[in-house]
Order: sequence, then C-alpha cells, then structure tokens
Amino acid sequence: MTEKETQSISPIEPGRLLVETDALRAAGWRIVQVLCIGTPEGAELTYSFGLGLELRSLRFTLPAADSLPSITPSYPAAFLYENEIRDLFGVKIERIQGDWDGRVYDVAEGKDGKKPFSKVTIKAISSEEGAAPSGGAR
Amino acid sequence: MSQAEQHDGQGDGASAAGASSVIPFGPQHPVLPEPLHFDLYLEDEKIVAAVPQIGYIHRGLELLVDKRDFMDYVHVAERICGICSFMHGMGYCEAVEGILGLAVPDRARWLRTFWCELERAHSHLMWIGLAADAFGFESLFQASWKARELILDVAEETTGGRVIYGSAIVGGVSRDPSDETLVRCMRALAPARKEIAALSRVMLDSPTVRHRLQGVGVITKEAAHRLGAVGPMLRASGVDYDARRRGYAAYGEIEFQTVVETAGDCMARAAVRVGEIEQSFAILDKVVAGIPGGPVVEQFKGMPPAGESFVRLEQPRGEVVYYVRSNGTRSMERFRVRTPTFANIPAMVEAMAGQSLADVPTIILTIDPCISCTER
Amino acid sequence: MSLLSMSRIVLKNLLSGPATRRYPRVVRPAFPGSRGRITIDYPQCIHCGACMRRCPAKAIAVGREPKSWRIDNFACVTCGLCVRVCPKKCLRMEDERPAPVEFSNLAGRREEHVTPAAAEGAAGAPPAPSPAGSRDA
Repeated sequence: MTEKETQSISPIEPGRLLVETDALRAAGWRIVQVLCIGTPEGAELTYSFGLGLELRSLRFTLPAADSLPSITPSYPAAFLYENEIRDLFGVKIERIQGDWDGRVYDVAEGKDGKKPFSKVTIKAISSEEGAAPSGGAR
Repeated sequence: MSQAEQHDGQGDGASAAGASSVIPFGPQHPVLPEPLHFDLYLEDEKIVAAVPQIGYIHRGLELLVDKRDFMDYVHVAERICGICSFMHGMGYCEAVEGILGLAVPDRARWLRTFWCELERAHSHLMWIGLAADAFGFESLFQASWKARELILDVAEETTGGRVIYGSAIVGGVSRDPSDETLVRCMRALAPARKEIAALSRVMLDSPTVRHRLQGVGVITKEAAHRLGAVGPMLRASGVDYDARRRGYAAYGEIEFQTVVETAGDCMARAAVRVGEIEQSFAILDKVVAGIPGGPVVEQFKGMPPAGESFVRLEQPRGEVVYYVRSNGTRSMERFRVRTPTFANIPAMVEAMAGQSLADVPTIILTIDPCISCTER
Repeated sequence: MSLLSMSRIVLKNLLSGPATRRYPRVVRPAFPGSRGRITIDYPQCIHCGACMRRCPAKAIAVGREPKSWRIDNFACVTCGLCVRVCPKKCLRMEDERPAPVEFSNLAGRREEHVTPAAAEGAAGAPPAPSPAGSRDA
C-alpha cells in the first residue's frame, strides 16, 4: 500500500451482503474484484469495491451448506466473478443475472464431487475488527 | 444485463428476442486474436445479443502457489501471460514484499518503472497492429510490429528476454543494466519513436480508419462505471482513473499525464492507447534521466510472517488486482489475480449490442483482450 | 493528408528491401545478456539437488546413485533461478539458444552428464532420473 492509497477490510454478516453492496453502489463505488478462499469453516469471500484510490473490502465466511444471494441486481458486472467462484469452489450462489450454468471453465469434478480449488487446507485469517492488510511495497 | 440474461444454459437461441440466426464465433477464427467464444444472435446483420464463453486455456496457475517456494513462484506468475508478463511478476513481488515488510531499494523501483513502461509501449503498439488487422489494414499492422521490434530489442538487451523479462524478483530486480546501457537503449529507440509518431497519425486521422472506428461500440461514462470497466475502456469514456496514481514503484516521483477521452467509442479508445505510447516514452526518458544508483535487491532470508496483501497496478489493459495470503511457511497459501480483461468483458458484451456483424472483431479488440491473463 | 502518409511509409518499405533476415543463412547474434540455455561445469557439481528442487518448470533431474545431472531444454523456461541458487555456482546461462533438434532425435533436447559408477556396481545401478517436467520418460 502506498501513502496515497487507503485499504480496509470490514467483516460483515453474510445476511447483510445485499444491503451493504447496495449502499456502496448508491455512494458511487465500483466493483473491483471478488475473492474466494476455501477454509475448513466454508468459503471465505471478500468483495472489494473501489472509489478513487480507495479500496474497501467486505469479508465473511460462508458455511459449506449455505447459499448466497447474487449481487448482480446492484452490480451487473459481478456475474463473471460469481460464475467463476461457483465453478471453481462449489459455492452456491443463487439468482445470478447472467448464469452460465457451470460452464465458465468446464472443470472436471473431483472424486468426491469437490471442485478443484476447494481443497480445505487454508485456515481463515483471524480477523481483528476492521484489520487493514499490508499492501505492497512503495 | 440483457444479453447474458438470455443465456439459459441450454443454448436455446430462440429465446433471444427477434433473432433470426445464431453464429458461433471463435475460439478459432482468422480475425480473432484471442481464444474466446461468442454465440452471436443476429437479426440480418445486426447483433441482438452476444453471449461470451471463456475457459479454453484455463491452466489453474493460482493453484501452483502452494507447491512452489514463494521466491520461485514469481517465475510462474510472470508466465500467466506473455504481453503483460513483467507486471504479473512485479505485482506478485509487490504483494509479497508488503507481507514481508521489505523495502525495495530505490534503483530497483526505478528499474521496475522502466520495464513497466517498456511493456506498456510494446503492448499498445501490438494492439495498434492487431486492431488494424481486425478491420483489414494489413500494412499498418506490419509497420507497427516492425517498429515494435526495436522496443523488444531493448528489452532483450536489458533483461535477456524479448517478452518474458524474468527480472522482477522478491526484494528488487535480478538484473542491473548500467546507466550507459539505458542511455544507449533510449538512443536506439529514437527511429522507432519517429516511426510510431507517423503511424499514430495514420491510426487517428486516416479517413478509412475513422470510418471503421468512429461511433462503433459506444460506452457511456455511466455505463463504464456501472460495468466495472478499467483501463483505456474507462478513460475513453471520460473517467480519469489510472492505478499508477497510487504511486507504486517510482510513479510517485515522476510527473506523467493520464490520457482521457470522452467519446467512448472505438476511436476514443484508440486515441487513449496511442496517447499512452507517447506518455510511456516520455516516462522512459524521465526514468533514464533521474535513476538513482545503489543496490538493486534487498535479500530476505527465513520464513515469511503470516498475513495478506492487496496490490493494484496499471497494466496496459487496465487496473489489475493481486492478492497474496501467507500462512507463515515458505510457500504462499493463496494467490489471486483479477486481470483487466476479466473486468472489461461485461463492457465488451454491452458494447456489442446493436452493432453490425462486421464490427464484432473491432469491438472485441477494443478492450485489448488477453485471455491467458483472464483465465490464468 | 494521412492517406498519403501511409503511402509514404509503404513506398519507403517497398524500396528499402526486406525488413527480415534470411534465417537460417543469416543468424541474429544474441545480445550479451540474453537468456538462451543452461550449461553446467559438471566437475564442480556436488549433486545437492537444489537446482532440481527449485526449478519452477521441473526441467532438471539430479541423480545420486549413479551421480548424474540432466536438463530437458524443451522444458526449461530460462528463468535463471537455478543459476542463482546453485551453491557451487557451476551453472551458467548461455546467451545462444539451444540448437534445433531433429524430430527423429528428440532425445537430443536433453543435456546429460553421468559420472560412471565403479565397475563392480555398474551392472545393478538404477538408471539416471529423468526431469520431472519432461513430456516423456
């Protein structure tokens, strides 16, 4: 992270995802990326939004059995990220506007039906509230 | 997201309103420079809907990060793509350096800037050639690639490789070209710069080129923001956002201008890229004039701490986001690249609506696609 | 007018001869720092295996019994990491690319060094290991 940039990661409840993203859209934030990591507790998702040089991320862990609503009503461009996460990690995301039905990468399924990136070896980062990550050399 | 909505996974083309035929386009086609696939729903020659399909060259490179020592993975990261390769390696290095808390020496930062701008110049020059080829202007294609050879020669002289530089390593750079070498390389580029200036005039002023590019694939400022477009797609629609303003590498110490246009059509995007080539040469001049001396690498020994890091760079195609997570062992745990083409695909699909079939290659090329980056 | 400016460029190209070299009759000399291929000063090698473990492309195979060192030039991506990690500094990056290999002799793409085992043990010695990144055995 350089002096000119600010970054933050805020933990949120999965149920508040649509409310938070809609508030960000109304304030003019654009979607930057959606990140998924497989952890023992489920999938850890980080949605990042940008305004000017600022990067704000929302993070939560989704238990494996739960499903997630799509944010495409607020951010239609998110359909590509959500399709990819569904294909590679097996996260259940519903009502994507622009659903490719599992054909983004045409991945082969593992022996136990698991998706290729979902190997569970990663421990979730113990998130101190609003912990700011380190971001790159100057 | 009207076009993609109509794709219901079963390929039922009749659901697209008013479409009389479906043309599958790609992944192999003489005019298509990148392996992506489109189902083009047409009414006569007008496109009603375009449904993209990617995934032909997915290599799962992100999964390799925990099978390699974190110092070695940079050589895998820079092979995600050939044209954007240096910035992939550098982005990985910057993210890891953030986790390690390593301060990169000044000369290394300035050398990284040198190679970044060299990469931007040769990438945009390559784009001019491919875009010209897409609408049939073969001689502009060959002439721009001929000028590009001089830039690739400079790259090979300073790094050893024409497109894959291999010079970004964690802690700095692996090569230290002398100041005399850098000055000599800039002098060797002078004939290329004259040639590029002439070719730029052809690209921007020629009535035949203008006929093909003006008014094609318009993206409004509001649409570019809503769709999450980045790079020249965004700047050609009037949004002044350039990730170099973050001030990474030596960009915080060098004056440069971002090129912004307002028309939002293919011509404006061509103007942005042509302007950026000129800016890249100006930045290269400043780097060679002001580069400090000193060591070029800061060694790191031992285990990295646990942590994570987000880094954003400005690739030739737009803003790229790198994420690295470390778990305290010699291999990083997770590496994620969100490449600019990934962010621009929704904008490309929207730009295609209502255009004629002959403009499809032009519109695909206007986002400067790099599918090997997109699919890693 | 820009219609003429392209014509000027085209005419200049037409009259100034080809911009390409007549390869293979004319071969471009490599730049002094070019990354061509890896060579080894084999007598210095201590067979520690660091180059094999660190190679991102798994192009190197180091054997202990019998001592051997093999590289597959087609798998090697000339990143130069092995040169940096070798403790004896016996690996070098040459600036010329490896010579083209005939399709009938694809094995020619490997560079192999084997220290012959002592005569008594030679018959039962295992074969030298092949680089893990090679396409065939």
